[in-house]
Amino acid sequence: MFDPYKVREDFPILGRKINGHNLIYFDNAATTQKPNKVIEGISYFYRELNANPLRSVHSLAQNATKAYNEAREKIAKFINAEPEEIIFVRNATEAINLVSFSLPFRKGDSVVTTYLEHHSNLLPWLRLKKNGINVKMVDIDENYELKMDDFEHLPRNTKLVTFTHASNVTGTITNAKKIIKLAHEARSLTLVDAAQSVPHMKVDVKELDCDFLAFSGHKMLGPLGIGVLYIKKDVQRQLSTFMEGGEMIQSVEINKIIYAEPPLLFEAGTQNIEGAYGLGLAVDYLNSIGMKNIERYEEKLTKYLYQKAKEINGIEILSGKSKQFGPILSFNIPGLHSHDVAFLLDKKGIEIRSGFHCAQPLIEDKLKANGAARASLYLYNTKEEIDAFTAELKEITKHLHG
Amino acid sequence: MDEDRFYELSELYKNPKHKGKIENADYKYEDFSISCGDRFSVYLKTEGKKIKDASFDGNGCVISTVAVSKLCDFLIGKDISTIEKMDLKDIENLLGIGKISSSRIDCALVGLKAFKRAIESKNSNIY
Repeated sequence: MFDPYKVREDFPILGRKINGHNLIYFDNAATTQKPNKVIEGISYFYRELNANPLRSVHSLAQNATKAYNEAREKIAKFINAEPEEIIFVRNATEAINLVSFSLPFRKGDSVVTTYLEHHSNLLPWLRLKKNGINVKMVDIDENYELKMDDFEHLPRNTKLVTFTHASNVTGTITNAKKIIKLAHEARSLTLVDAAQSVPHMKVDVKELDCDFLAFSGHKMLGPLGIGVLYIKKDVQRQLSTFMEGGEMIQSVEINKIIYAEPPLLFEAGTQNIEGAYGLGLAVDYLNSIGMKNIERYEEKLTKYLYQKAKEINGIEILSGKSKQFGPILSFNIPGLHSHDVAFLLDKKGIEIRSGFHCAQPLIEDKLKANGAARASLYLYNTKEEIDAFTAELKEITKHLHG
Repeated sequence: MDEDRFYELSELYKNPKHKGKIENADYKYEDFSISCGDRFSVYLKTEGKKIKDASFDGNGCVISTVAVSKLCDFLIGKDISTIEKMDLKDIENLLGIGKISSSRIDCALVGLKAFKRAIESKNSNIY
């Protein structure tokens, strides 16, 4: 039986006071808090396991190598991939950039992305325009769903279709399986930005059949500075190296370099072993609770959040209209900028995000807003926190119009 | 800044003074933005070195909007060189608040930075 109050005991930061009030942390789409298991695990790594892995023959290095490899195996299993298909990077941004630098695009090729994207799945592709690559933007409809027609009529020479699995603004969960099928029919590769989906739902790369999938560890209870790029085995050979240096070679002579096999081929230099180890522990923690349980609880909580938010007079909601959506509420209070809303909530210990959420084209061009306030939930949030949050929003609107 | 002061400023935000474009401005900088969600244009009308009129246009939060509005009010009648000498402390004084929290410094400064940019760009003949 899933018990959020029991879960909360695993997260020491949730006991903190902010401006004299109990912390209510509603900025989980930006980053999540860490359970004791992860916090203490990182300390354990440095107390017991630390060495430079892979190369050294001594026992401690073997311990560090084992920790690194086991983390890779855990994460592979978590998304139903093979360990060799898991590349450790800093975050989803680096994962997507790696693909944008390593896939051999030719002048005249097309990349298809969408208006739902975070800047991290937009700028790496817009950068390619100067090399003569066409970038097509798929639009959204009035329910914040991607226009599927566009995927049925992809531009000629589409090399890559890249899109978000779950929007960090509208919450929209996209029909990834169908988009990938359509892209493959047009002989295009596919990249899924899963930064907002992997933390909240069971994601299975074999079922999706995507070629690339990117996510960040820190948005799923893991440490900062570690992320994952999944590259399907059959596709790995198409990529050139992104960075070169230590650990990614078998042999180096000045005139002859023999490279290592993936995943090491894409992991130049000493890696963030502490981060990978910590992310492995975060995955253990999520598994111990069960992704199905998390999904079910968040769905209930999100429904309650929307029900309470809609009771507030004058609030403009910019999320949650799609058939499926994640635990995100984006909104504005007319007469205040989103930064001001965040500022006032912070006075009561309630931490939300405001501004453009690194999705300026979506918010400005499509939602026609000058920023948005955003509350985003995770497994440790509660109904009582939602009550406190919506009560405070009511107070703010009363102050403004009263 | 406490909530009471914030709500006082939010009253000024509803209908800020000096909002609107000055046609034939001697100095201007349009669509200036440094922090997410604030975007301002600023205009100055001068006579010799004296600022005859100052205005802004665009959208931002309570802090940025009231700060640029009060800045316009302050600048009218002053020497043009006043602008380059101003800093965060002066904006905090105009807003009538103590030290602003670090996350709102960009908001407080966006108007002043736009005016500084307007003068620099005129001097370097961008316009």
